Amino acid sequence: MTLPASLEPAPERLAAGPPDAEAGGRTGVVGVRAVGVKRAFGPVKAVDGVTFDAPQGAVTALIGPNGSGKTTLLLILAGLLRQDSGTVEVSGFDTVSQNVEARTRVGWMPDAFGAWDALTPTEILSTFGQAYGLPKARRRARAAELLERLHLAEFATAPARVLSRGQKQRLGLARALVHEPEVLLLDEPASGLDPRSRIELRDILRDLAQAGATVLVSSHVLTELEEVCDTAVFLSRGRTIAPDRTAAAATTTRGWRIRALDPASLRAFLDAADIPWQAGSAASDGEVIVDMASPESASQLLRAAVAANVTVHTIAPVSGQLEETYLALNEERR
Amino acid sequence: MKTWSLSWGGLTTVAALELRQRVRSSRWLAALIVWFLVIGGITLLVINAAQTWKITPSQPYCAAGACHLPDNVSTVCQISAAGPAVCAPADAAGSTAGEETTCSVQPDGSVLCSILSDFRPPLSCSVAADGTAACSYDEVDGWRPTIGPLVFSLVVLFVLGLGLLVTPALTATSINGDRHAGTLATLQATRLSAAEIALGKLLAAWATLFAFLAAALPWLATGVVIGGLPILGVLVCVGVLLLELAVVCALGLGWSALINRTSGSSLLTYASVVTLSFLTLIALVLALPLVSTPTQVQVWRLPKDVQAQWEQEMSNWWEANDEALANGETTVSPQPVAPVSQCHWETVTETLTHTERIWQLTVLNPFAIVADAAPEPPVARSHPNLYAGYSGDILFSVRHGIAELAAGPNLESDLCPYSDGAIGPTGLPEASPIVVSPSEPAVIWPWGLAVSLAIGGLFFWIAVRRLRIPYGALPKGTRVA
Ligand SMILES: Nc1ncnc2c1ncn2[C@@H]1O[C@H](COP(=O)(O)OP(=O)(O)O)[C@@H](O)[C@H]1O
Ligand SMILES: [Mg+2]
Repeated sequence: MTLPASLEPAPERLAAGPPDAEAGGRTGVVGVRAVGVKRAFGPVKAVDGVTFDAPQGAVTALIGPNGSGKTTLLLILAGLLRQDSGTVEVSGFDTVSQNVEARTRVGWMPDAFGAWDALTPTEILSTFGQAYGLPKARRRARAAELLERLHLAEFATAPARVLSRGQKQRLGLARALVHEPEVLLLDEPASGLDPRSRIELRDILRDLAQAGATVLVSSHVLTELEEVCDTAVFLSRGRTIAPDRTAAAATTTRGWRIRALDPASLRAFLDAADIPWQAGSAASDGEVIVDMASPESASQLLRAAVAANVTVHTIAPVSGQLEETYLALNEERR
Repeated sequence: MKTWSLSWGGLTTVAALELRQRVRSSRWLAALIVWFLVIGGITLLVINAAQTWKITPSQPYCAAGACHLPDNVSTVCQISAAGPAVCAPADAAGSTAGEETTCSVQPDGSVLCSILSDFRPPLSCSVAADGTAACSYDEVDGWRPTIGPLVFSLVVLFVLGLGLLVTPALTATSINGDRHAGTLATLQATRLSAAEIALGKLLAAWATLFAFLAAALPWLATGVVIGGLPILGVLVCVGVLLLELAVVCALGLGWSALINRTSGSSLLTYASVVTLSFLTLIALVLALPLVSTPTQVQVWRLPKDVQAQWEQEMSNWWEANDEALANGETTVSPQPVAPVSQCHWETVTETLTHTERIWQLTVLNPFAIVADAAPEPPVARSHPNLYAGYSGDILFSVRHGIAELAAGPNLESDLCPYSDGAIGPTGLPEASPIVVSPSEPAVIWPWGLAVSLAIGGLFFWIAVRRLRIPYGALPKGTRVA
């Protein structure tokens, strides 16, 4: 993956014209471009200066703690909410002045997808196909295809109220994909999914990006996005974090995750050796994270710890740089 | 601009979605069945009651040597086995005012009488030689009294009344309810315009009302067929009724877009319906004192001293003949006759209620609008008093009442004490100098409907405005999704 969040000047944008027939949107256009976007709800500045580009053909992670404005930002991108200032372009269309054009190119999946409980998944999907103006035969085929893809085929004719939370979440994703959007906006799509479904979600997102779609996924759970995203945008208190800061964070020494049977003795050992550490993301099982320059230093540390009778059972580089960046930014949760 | 774009595909998408959800709920069918039974039950009860109690306009009947009108008071024919039948309508007091009876003996020895009246449909009575009699109403302008208009009126009023109760449930929570269920924003995010979502919901609710109307149709048709009502007029009336209910749909839609809580929007929708249906009437009544003002009136009467003198003569006559009259003696001195030739115009100031200044309040009332649009057989124009009294047409009575409110009080009255008491076709004494020009009653329903549609349009506009995306200011306490 590449950090920082891509902010390099985008290629020349095409003048707004008819969209390319092929999936993945028009060539030469940035998938999502936000410049200086702000939106307040009364005194709450939910989005307070967001600038980023999400390129076509890539999965972009939108990462931030609860209340950092991810949902609000996605609503603005989906053309549902008007920003107070700044501009947003989706597939090259301004979400305010070309709202319909932008909207029809976006597939938006809200964090809580409400389904019409009395309708069947097939009916729900074809209704949305109809709402996007797909011809009848096409929306039928599309509904069947998506239900198959998301392993909901066996519920195709059951009322949506019998679906479990995870199944509803998958139906929500299918709904967002009905019209083969150029830009996919997913708000915490992995919540409520079992591990297998998450892996499948990951594969679906990868495939879509490969086909040229712009995929923007929000989450507050870092590990969810690690393997799937190509770039990341960090949100904190409604602001995108300046790319140089994320860049700096990404190039610092690598963190290593260390776990011991007796976490207290591990921490005592590190303190005694005067090695700086911080609690890891799985702090409940006593995990600590130690920054080290190289695997050699890690091996040295391990030897010393074992010699000091610390019952280390795991030592591994922090699996993702996202998490490291996230921790390095050390931004507080609201 | 995009907010208001409408396409057939978009409308049907939303309407089909709403209807499909509605059809899935089993309560719905139950509601339709209950509706059919309630309206049918009421219709049958009314027909039955009318027949049992000889409520107008059932047929006159003959029994025990006399033929009676259904009011059980007036006797039309006295039949004696001995001589020819005597047909002369008489009310309880024995008066035969305003009636004209012609009887003729038929070749077979039976007597055929035709009885004309300004206040009663013409009757034909035939008394056979053996004394058996039969009476029936004759047609007036193609109308003869039947129960049809009563049944039609009742069904229309019930469909409207129950419709006003049911309709708010169709739309009053449709926007804020969807917002709570999290289904609104995903729909808005599609290609659908705000107007398509709002109008689709409105059409779905309206289509549901058609189902209710269809369930009431057999009973409505019963009234139309029995009464022989003009089909075009029936269609206009039903159309106006459906449009009035569509306005209520729009009210519900507007409130559900304005108010975040579903309970609040339901309450306000019902409050709006009550305001239009009842508070307009209450306001009308409360406004009556405000329009009661001293007004100069022309009165045709005797000069004061002549009047006083005549009243004195009358009371003297009553005193003198009191006992004789009480004993049933018929040989009394003739009643003094008032010098009516001395009657003249006098201008007096009276406190009159000028309903013509406030009758417009009725224009807001759905019942008044629908009643005014009700079918009107020709006889209702040519013989309004006759039709009002004998048709049982409640809608006509409402319209008649509104026309009277609109006309306001009479500024001319006749207090001259005529002795022969003959009443002219206008309801005034025949000798009266007051000329009543037979003016056509104003047709108010197009105005009322226009006002209703304007209100409905305003609420629909509000709903569309509230659905317009991208949202600027959000109502307090709402989230988009
Ligand atoms: N409609 C709204 N009205 C008032 N405050 C809101 C509204 N929507 C979001 N907020 C506030 O804006 C902030 C960002 O919210 P949100 O975008 O939902 O964050 P996230 O999705 O990152 O958890 C929060 O403090 C939230 O309370
Ligand atoms: Mg959120």
